[in-house]
Parts: sequence; structure tokens; C-alpha cells
Amino acid sequence: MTDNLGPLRQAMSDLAEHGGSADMYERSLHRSRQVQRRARVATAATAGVAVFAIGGAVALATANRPNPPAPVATQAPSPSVGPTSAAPSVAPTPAAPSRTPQSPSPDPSTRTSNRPRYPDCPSAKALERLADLPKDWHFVPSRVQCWRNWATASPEGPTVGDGIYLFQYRAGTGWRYHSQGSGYRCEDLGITTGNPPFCEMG
Amino acid sequence: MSNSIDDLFCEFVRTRSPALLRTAFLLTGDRHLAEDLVQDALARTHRGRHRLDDPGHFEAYTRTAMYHQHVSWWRRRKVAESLPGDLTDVIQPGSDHARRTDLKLALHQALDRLTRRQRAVLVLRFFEDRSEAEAADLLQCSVGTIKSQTSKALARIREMAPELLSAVMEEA
Repeated sequence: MTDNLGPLRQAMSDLAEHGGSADMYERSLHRSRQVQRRARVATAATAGVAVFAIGGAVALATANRPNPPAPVATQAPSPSVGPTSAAPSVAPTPAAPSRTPQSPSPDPSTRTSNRPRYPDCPSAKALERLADLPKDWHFVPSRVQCWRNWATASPEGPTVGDGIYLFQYRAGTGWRYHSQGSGYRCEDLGITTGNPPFCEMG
Repeated sequence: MSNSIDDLFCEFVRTRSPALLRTAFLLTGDRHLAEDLVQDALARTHRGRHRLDDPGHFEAYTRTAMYHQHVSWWRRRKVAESLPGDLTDVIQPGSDHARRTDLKLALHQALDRLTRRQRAVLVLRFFEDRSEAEAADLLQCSVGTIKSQTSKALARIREMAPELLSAVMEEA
């Protein structure tokens, strides 16, 4: 016994007549343009988000870029010993900082980060190795002060003293002992601008 | 080519919309949903009209879009509506017209209980008179799937509306 599909086909044909005969042209055109508009907006939004994300990532990476290795006192001494030689325990290293603290600062418009213009302040222990301190004398860490490429340290020992030790940083040689005294004239040190705490201007 | 692609598309829509709506009504069971389905399929064809090398492909492209849209997600938008009222004609009991209306209502209810794919297969096979291979190609499935879906759909219709599938022996 085989199904006679004639009634089914006939019913389908009759039922399909209820589909109507609406004019679909304007509707389909409107729908097409609407979808295209949405697609354009979505594309633009996606592109915007992508640009924003990439720009943000680049800005973040630039801001977090590590500063160039700052010269530290332990790297500073050069093989050539100056007038006041460093302590013998200091291992001289030929590598000298490539950046001079007195070099002209970069144009602010081209600077990409707030890199320090001057070297990091050395520690009291590092300065002790550069200065020929008498026995039982040492520098007080809280009294090491830095100004630009200058550093001062107050010694403390068995007797009372009022002098300070002065150190200077130079490109190529790093931190070096400069002199010691109880008062300096800035002009004698070649300082003509600024307000250094260890000397008097004018 | 004297007519632009837009003119050809306009002509296609104006002339073929009723036929597309008939198929869409069988697929959706609702006139408004059918119009929405045809509208979306035509919009898709409109967006891709420049890619169609032959304007004669408009209808094939639109029908394919309709079936795919219907099978994939159309059912989700279906709203509960009372359709028999829309289909009720003036029936004269005992007349041939009354019998056809009864069959039409029975088919409408039966189609509503089929799966989307079963419904699409029935429309393709018994309304559009497509072969199993054509139906498989259009729905992007195997001929075996078309056969099995047809068999299952007819079995369900036989349960719900046996009068639609009167046996040859009975007719004889």
C-alpha cells in the first residue's frame, strides 16, 4: 500500500496561497540598507576598539619601559686613579656610563619618559669606598645628599667634625671624590646656576 | 546591458515576491513571519547582487537564503498566533471546497508540529517538486538525510492528519 501524496500536494498548494502578495521591494531594500549600516557601525566600532587597545598597550609599554641603567657608585671608579684614590677593595670596571649627566637634556617634545637627568644618588657605603676615611669613621646614610651630579656626605667618627665630603659624577669616570671642607663657594666648583645646598652662590 | 543590476533586482522582486511568499508561508505558518523571512532573504540577495554574475540566479540565491535562515534560526522568532481563523474560508459542508479547506487546516496544524528541517524537506519535495538530490544540495545535507527526514515527516503527518495521505488502495 503506497501513500497517495496528491491530497498533500493539493493541500500545500492551497495553504501556500495564504502567503499573500505584499510588495517586498521597498521592505527588502530598507532591510538591506539597515543591515549594511549596522555592519559599517560594527566594523567602525571594532576598528576603534582595536586602535584604542593597541594605542593603550603601546602607551602603557612606553610608560613602563625600564629606565636605562643608572650609573651607580660601584661601577663608577675607573682604572685610572685620581688624586684621591679609591679604596683598594673597589674592583675597578672599565665599563663607564655612556650617558653624561651634564649633557643637554632631550627636547621635552621628543622625550618619551621621565628619565632622570642626573645619576642616582650613591649610597653611603659606596661613597666610603671612594673617600679615604680615617679608621673608625663612616658616612651617615641619612646625611648623604645629592644635587645634580654632586653628592655630599657627612662623616661620623670618634671625634666631632663639621666638614663634609664632596663627590662629583663625571661621564666616563663615574662618581669620584672631589674634596672635603666645611664650606664651599659655588663659583669655585664651577656651579653658576641652581641652588645647591652645599655651597654659596655669588 | 541596458538594465542595471538594481533594475533587474527590482524587477525580480516585483515579479517573484508572491511565489517566494507562498513558500515562506508554508515554512513559517504565518503570513507576517513569511514576509519577514522573504524580506531578510531578499535583503541578503540585494547585498550580494553584485557578486551574482547572472541575474537569473537571484531566485535560487533568495530561496537558498530563505531555507537556510528558516532552518537555522527562524523558528526562534516564531510568535504564537491563532492561524486557523485566518485560514477559514466560507465553507459549504459536503462540497469539494469544504474538503479542501479541511485538508488545508489539517496540513497547517500538522506542519506546525514538525521540526524545521522536516518542514523544509516537505516543502521542497512536495510543494516545489524538487528531487531528493536538489533538496539535499539546497539544504546542504546528504540525500540520505533528505530521505529519512521525508519519511519521518510523512509518518508524523500520517499520525496527525491521515486524510492528507490517503492510501492508494483506499482511493481505489
